[in-house]
Amino acid sequence: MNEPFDPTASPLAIQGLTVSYGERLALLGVDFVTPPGRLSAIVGPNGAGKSTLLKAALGIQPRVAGELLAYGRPLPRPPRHIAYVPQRSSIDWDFPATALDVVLMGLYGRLRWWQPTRRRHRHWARECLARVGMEAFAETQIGRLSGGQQQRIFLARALAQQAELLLLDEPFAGVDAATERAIIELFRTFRTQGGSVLCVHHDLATVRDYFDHLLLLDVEMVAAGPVAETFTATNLQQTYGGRLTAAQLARLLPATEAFRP
Amino acid sequence: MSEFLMLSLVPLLVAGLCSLSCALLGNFLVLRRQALIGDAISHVALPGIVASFLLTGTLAAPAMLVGAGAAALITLALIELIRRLGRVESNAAMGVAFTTLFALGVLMLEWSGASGVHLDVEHALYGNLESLVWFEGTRPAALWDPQALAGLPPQLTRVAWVALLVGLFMMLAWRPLVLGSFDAAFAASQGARPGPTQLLLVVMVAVAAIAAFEAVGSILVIAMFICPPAAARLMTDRLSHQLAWSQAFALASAVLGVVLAGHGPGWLGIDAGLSAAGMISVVAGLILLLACRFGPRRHRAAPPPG
Repeated sequence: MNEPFDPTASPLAIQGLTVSYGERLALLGVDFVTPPGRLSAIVGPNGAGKSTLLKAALGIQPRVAGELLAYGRPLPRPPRHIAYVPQRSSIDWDFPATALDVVLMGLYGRLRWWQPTRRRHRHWARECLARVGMEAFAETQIGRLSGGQQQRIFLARALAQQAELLLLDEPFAGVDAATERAIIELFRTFRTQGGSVLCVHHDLATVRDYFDHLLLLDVEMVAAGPVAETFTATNLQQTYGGRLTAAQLARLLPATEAFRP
Repeated sequence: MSEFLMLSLVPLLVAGLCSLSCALLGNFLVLRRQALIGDAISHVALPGIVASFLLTGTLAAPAMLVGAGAAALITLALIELIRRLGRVESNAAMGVAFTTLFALGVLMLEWSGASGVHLDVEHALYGNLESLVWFEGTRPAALWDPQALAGLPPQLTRVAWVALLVGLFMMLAWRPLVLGSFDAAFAASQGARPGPTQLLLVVMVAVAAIAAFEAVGSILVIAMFICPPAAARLMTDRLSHQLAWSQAFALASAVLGVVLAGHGPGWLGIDAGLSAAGMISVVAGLILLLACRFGPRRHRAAPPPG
């Protein structure tokens, strides 16, 4: 899976992306080309600008500098081929919305803003719920679902949007192991259908198992490329400012990697 | 019967229409946890109306609407300015902005009174429902007599238009409103423009507040914005049902409020009338209290960890 790819085939290419909050730089000159048909992870310490990168790529967060391209052209506004799954903590789980309501929100871009959703839209939303195994919960208020079920509802919303790229902000935070596997399976199915995934990820232990491609980020880009080449002791130490212990690295990397200088 | 037509029909209709339109918008204020914005906007309607009165010298509806609308926009800008310059929470900025402007409005009102024109402080603050008398409503036939209908207080037409406008707004902007209230980041990524939607919502709140100003005054209108939707939220987990409940509660408080204020003391053998606006707010508060105690959805799912 490491063959080179054509940048104009990328659903989201970032060039020189710079974002600041007041005087504090959140991102500085980041370049990244999301490979099409791959699962990519953004990894880095807290405050590395991982979530900011997703938001800037969607045009939610204003940027100081940088170009955004989709398939070699300027990113359309709004970027409807990209589905965004926000961090779970940023969702109002108390909102009076059912699972079906949330999935229907994925159809926003397909209708004029004043058009109501119709029967065929609800039918399509139910189909998307079925694809994530949640059709039985269509009428359940979202706050009453478990963490993993909630995450699957948001994946169904991304499916309903018929996106080509999923941007997810820590989709595995607060879900149990079974759900984590279920979500990864969904990603892999999505990949076989030609879809791409770009995902902020926290758990270094699973990077090698789950992802094909990696962006190591600490305000600036540290390294980017296929996981096999990028997920190295040197790059990780640089990303985390040398805070990882040798024992941690030994667990994360195959024996030959960990002791390479 | 003729007494009802002449004295009670118009207050009932005005209070009902105001309650309905305020409660409809209030649903989104409650869901966005912006109840205070309704309060702020309804308060600054006062300086807006007084200023437009001082400038134009009329109490004509268009001038008042423009004045209050301008005041609402100025307040929004002021809130944002205080928030950024003072680096305080938006709630604190709102509190500062609207109390100051409201106080300014009270002073301007007194000044306008001193200059010999009539703009009653008490009515502006507590409402004026009892004064909405239909002098032509002497017999039931007046209901289909165009000449008698022309004598209906202009406030009724005004609140009817506003109710229609609010209803249209909710129907057309439904999906951007819901999306922006639920998940502003996703809404922005989908081009649902949560910023302008929010602004439009606040402008509609201002319009409804100005209309309600006639009915219940600028202080008590917040009860109409918040109590029925807050109670409705405790009855159901579905947004469309919540809207229906809020409308039922709004109508119930308006009707019960007007009737109890007019006849309640009489039933107790006391020869006095109570403020209808006050009674509407009290009934709305009681409904909220009952919903808090007995509403089926008052125990909501705890937010998930993480």
